[in-house]
Amino acid sequence: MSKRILYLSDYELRAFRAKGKTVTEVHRFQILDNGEAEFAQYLSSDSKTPIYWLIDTTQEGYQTALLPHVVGKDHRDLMSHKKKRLFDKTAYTYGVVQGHEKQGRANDRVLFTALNNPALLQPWLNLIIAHKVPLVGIYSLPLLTECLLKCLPKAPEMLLVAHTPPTNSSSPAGLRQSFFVNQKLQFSRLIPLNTLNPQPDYAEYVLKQIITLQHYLENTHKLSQTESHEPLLVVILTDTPLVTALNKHLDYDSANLNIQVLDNRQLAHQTGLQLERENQGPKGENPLYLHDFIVFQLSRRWYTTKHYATATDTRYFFYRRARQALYLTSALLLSGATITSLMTLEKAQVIQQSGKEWAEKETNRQAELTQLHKQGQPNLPIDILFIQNVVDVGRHLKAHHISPRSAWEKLSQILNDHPDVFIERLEWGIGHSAADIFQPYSKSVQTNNEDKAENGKNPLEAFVPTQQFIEGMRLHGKISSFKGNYKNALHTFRQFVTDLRQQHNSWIVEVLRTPYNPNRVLKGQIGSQAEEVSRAPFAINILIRHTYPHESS
Amino acid sequence: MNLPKTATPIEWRAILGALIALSLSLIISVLLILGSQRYHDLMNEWERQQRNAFQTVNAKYYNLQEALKIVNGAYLKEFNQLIKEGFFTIKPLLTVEEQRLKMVDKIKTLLFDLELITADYTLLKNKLYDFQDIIIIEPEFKTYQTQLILNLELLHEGDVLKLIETIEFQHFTGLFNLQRCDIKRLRDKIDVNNVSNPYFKANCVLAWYISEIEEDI
Repeated sequence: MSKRILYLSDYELRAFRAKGKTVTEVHRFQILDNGEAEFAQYLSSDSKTPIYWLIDTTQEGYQTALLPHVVGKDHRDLMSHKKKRLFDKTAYTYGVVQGHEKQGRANDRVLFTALNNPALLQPWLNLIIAHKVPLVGIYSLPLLTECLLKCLPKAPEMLLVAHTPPTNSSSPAGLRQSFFVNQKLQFSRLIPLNTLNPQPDYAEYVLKQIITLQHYLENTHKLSQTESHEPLLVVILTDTPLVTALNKHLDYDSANLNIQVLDNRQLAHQTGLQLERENQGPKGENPLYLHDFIVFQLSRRWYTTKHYATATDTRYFFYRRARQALYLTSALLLSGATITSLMTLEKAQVIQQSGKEWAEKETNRQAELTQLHKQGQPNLPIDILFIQNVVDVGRHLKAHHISPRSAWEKLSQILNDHPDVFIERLEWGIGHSAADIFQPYSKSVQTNNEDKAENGKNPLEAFVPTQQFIEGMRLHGKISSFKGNYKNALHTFRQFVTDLRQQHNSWIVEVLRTPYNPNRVLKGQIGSQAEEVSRAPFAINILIRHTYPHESS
Repeated sequence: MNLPKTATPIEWRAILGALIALSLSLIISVLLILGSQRYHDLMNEWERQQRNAFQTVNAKYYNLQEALKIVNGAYLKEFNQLIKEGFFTIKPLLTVEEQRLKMVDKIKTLLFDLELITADYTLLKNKLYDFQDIIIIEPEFKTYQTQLILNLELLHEGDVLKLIETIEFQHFTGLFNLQRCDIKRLRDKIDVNNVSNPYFKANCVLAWYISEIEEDI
């Protein structure tokens, strides 16, 4: 992806296209010579590509100041206030904290810069806005020079001297002198370079300007004054033909200056810069200027803090970013929804496959069922399920078809062996419990639980009503020829019960009432015959378990 | 990124296309998600229906298979026997009520012929017999029960057995079961010179069962 960078000096505007390590100068627009019309045409040919705008002017001011170390809104307010105080006639101001005082209150060391003549920008800026070209930012060339320092000799205090394009129509070039302390810009000056003649004029002129600036820096206390400090490093960046001339004449042996001359071509090679100019001759014949290196540095950076552009100036870049963010959001939204939908559809397909399998199974089973119906139904008068119902119900009811004869005959045989046991009443019935068959036994007569106590468990405990039913007999009787002999009566009764149990193991015999219980509370009236004494009554339940016929039977 | 802070109005046209794209993508995304979810739900429901349909057919298949197995065994023989006994009629000519009346006429004749000392009868109303989950039956298949209560005065307890066996011998339409019988001795000693007075009093309940298919239920 290529970047479009504009370079504006007091004399002209140059347009660059940077792609990879190749920087191409595509246009030059003269300020005084119908440059604006050409620039408008240039913008209309490509109004989409954002513009990075580099300013290199003599009318840029620099002020360093110490500010109290505050953060957040206080810091912003303080910076804004200071900028207004220092540069009240321009909106294009910038301030950057460069460090802190190591002693005292640790105040912030701040550099403030400003474009003192906004009119320089205005015609170009108006055209950029009129063509709605996204403006990323307006950058100060001296400030961006800090990016180049990593490729140059290093010293705590350094003065970089480099050529710029002409600053006016009468000079062949310009000379930019930028002073750095700890790699941070402190001051910069752009002056016309009156001669590019290698013989004495050029070297003498450059040296003279360096010394002038050195004196200025000393006078304004920007340069360290102590004896132990290192000499000021002066790096002169110049073209190949002038390097030799400078080296010959710069025999200025001062303890305060350490002058090093660097060849522009060598630095370009070192940084990888490949410069092309579309409207000039081969690149080897073209002089290299400081801004070529800065354009290259700017093109290589992912993000650079803008220096001068206001929000209004950069609004079309803001809109471009907003559009990009919205399109990206849309794309992410669509992608997310598509992925989610595809996952849901994949799950649905698995379910659909399962449904198809069930449907196929159902079809097959339906066919088997139809086949089974054909096999089973032709000879049957009604639906087979009804036949099953008729037989099941018939079996169930027929199971209840029990004659009492068998039980009564067995009972008669036992009674024949016990002539003193006299039966007064016989209840017989069919049901699923004794309560189903018999009336509740009279509460006025105390139920005897001896029988249960003897067995230790309920004889009907394992009874299953769905599989079994009961044929029951309840005997009410008395011991005949009792005559008040309790012992004999009780013995006779117990013998009868024992015979009932022994002779028919399947019979469950429950004694409800015994003729006499020696432990029972006795109440009576002398002279009258109470029932207990005269009759010795008893009551017994006999339960016979029957099982419903099983299907297989 | 900060919005321009000056009074310059926002140029909505500059981002209108992107806003429309965002809106469209939002709508499409919602439609995609809702559509796929709806399809998923439909498939789920369809799969459940197919599974249920299979289970229903499968249950029918196994029921029929089981029924065929038993019918091909002893069931058909028993079924024909129950038809013969009149417990179930495929296309009944008489209603349950009419058969009940026919049955009570026969009972009356029978009681008269047995020469009991007294014989009172009460025929209760028909009622649907409840199997209380002991047997699972089809809802159209109905079984009715009618109870016949007999109050008898007898000379000998054996007369009760004689009566029951006589009823059985009559081969009434339907099934007859003796449900319960309560026999009370009226006198301790037998007087051979007095045979006109009963020695026993019996209260017996017989149940008559008949069944049919009521298709309109």
